[in-house]
Amino acid sequence: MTLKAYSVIFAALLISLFIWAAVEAASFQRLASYFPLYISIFGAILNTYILILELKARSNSKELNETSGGPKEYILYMSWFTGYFVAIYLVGMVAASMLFLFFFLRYESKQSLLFTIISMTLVALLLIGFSHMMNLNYPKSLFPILEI
Amino acid sequence: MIESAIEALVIVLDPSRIVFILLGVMIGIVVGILPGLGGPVGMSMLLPFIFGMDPYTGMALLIGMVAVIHTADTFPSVLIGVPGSSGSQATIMDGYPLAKKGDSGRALGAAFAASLVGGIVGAFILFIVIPVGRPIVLSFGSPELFMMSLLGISMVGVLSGKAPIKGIIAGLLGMLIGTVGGAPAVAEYRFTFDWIYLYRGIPLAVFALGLFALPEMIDLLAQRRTISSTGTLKGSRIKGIKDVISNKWLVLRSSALGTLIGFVPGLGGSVVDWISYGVAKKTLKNTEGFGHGDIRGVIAPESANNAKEGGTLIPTLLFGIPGSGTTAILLGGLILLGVQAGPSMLTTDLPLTLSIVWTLALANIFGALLCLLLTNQISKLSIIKPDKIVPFLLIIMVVGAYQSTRHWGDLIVFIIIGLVGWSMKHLDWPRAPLLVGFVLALSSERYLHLSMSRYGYEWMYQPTVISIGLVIFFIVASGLFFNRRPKKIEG
Repeated sequence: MTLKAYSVIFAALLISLFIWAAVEAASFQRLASYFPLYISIFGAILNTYILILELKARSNSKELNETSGGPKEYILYMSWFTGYFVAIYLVGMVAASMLFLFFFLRYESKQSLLFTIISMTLVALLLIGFSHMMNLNYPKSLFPILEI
Repeated sequence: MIESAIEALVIVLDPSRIVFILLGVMIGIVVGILPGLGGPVGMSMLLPFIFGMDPYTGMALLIGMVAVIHTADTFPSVLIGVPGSSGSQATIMDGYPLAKKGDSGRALGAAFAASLVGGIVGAFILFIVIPVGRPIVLSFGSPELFMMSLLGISMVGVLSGKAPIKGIIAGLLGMLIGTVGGAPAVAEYRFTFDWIYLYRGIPLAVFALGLFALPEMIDLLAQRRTISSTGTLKGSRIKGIKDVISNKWLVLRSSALGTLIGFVPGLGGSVVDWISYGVAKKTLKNTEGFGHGDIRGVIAPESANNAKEGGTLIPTLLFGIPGSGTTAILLGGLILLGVQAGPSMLTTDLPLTLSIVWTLALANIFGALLCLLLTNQISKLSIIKPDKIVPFLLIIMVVGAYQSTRHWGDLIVFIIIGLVGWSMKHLDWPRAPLLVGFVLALSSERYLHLSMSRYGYEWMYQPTVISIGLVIFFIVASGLFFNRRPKKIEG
């Protein structure tokens, strides 16, 4: 898909968002509605103008991925990030960070085992240390037995 | 007054208090470097420890910490394009492009030198204003505060580059997202999908991290490039300091502006850097490099955000009106220390007030020097390969994002905003206006509601309102005019 196609889709999604927000805002109490309502209407009008310009503009055949890395790379790294968030949900922040660091540094960055283990140890110490010293809270594990 | 100032200086220079200033400075640097943590987090961390201290020592610790957050928050802004705190958002605009060119040392050197001067100017203005502050603060009503919010929002025209209409839409979208949660005027929860997390709105730290940090992390990995695209470090901190000296008037002007904006309660520190950046871009010559790595785009916001602290303390100390979340907690700290903010700060507690001024100045000096010493070491982060640094940065960001409300919603919103930010970045939609709109949505709506309730439409005819309105008109019109590119959509 070309950059232009993505731009048109993005502008269309924004219009939908503004229209939905305007409809939703109209149902609020009067004092709570006028601010989001007028913002949404104004946004929808301006966005429609942008969408028309995008449609009229000469076709920009540049692929989205030409601007930077390829789609495979984006999907790969977004998957790494998603995996990290899923791990946090399952095993909690500290354990998930250790797992993420281990697999990422070993298999994506191709780091040595020693470097990976030192990094994991330091991060674990810092996470636990900061948690105690600065009263930081971390997401808990879905399974309390796995909580560090 | 001079005698009291000398007396306060002697109190502050007591070695035990210097130790606490330094301790506060070091904590402030850590809080500033970690994205997502800001003044309120740092303040709330220290508050339990000041219980039982004498007021001078307690204030040395708290003010020492607050004073340097906006110095140290430049590290993440310049090196990874992530605002270390809300006051360093505009620094990204030119600081990060400079780091990409390998000039991170220069950008950081300039930022710290500008922060140092800005902090001292803020403290000096606080000292000058103490006797005459009351009538000025009381002259600002809700109409003026609303117009000041609009002034901040009008900066979207300046920040939108060659796509002013997209910038305005992004600003409107930011304002719309800013209305999520409780309405200021009436008991109504808006756009919450019955999700309790959204009842208090989206936290600024999560929003800023998602919008700027997550897209950058994905791109660094996917493009397999270091932050410094040249892979080398060219600029030195000395060059940055020289830049500050050669732009001395910009530094002084931005510092004065920062103090003035900080002085207005409720406007908050989140907008001071944007206004200062916008004013610099509008008033300086040869600004076509702004947004692409112009050192003046770093100097202006960094001078202003440190100077703001002095301004913010004026209404806080003299009238007990907190100008931000940080100063709200500071007020709590004063109460813990047995001091009541208000007119007594100019009479019986004058030595304490003046000791705060000195602490502010000293902490800025210590903080800037410490950051300058660390610059070269920390700048090397920008030439490390992304697959070695991004996993660690991601962990820091997740920790920072989660501290906002300590709810899973922080992480979910972080991801959603991150995807929106990534899309905007790749489709050439400006992201800075989105953040400005978001930051100012609540205060704009609140002050508009107060103005309408109290004055009807009469408030629009007040001379101060008209004056600020004319300034806004000039900024928006000039932004649209200078960026006009007919028959072509430009991003």
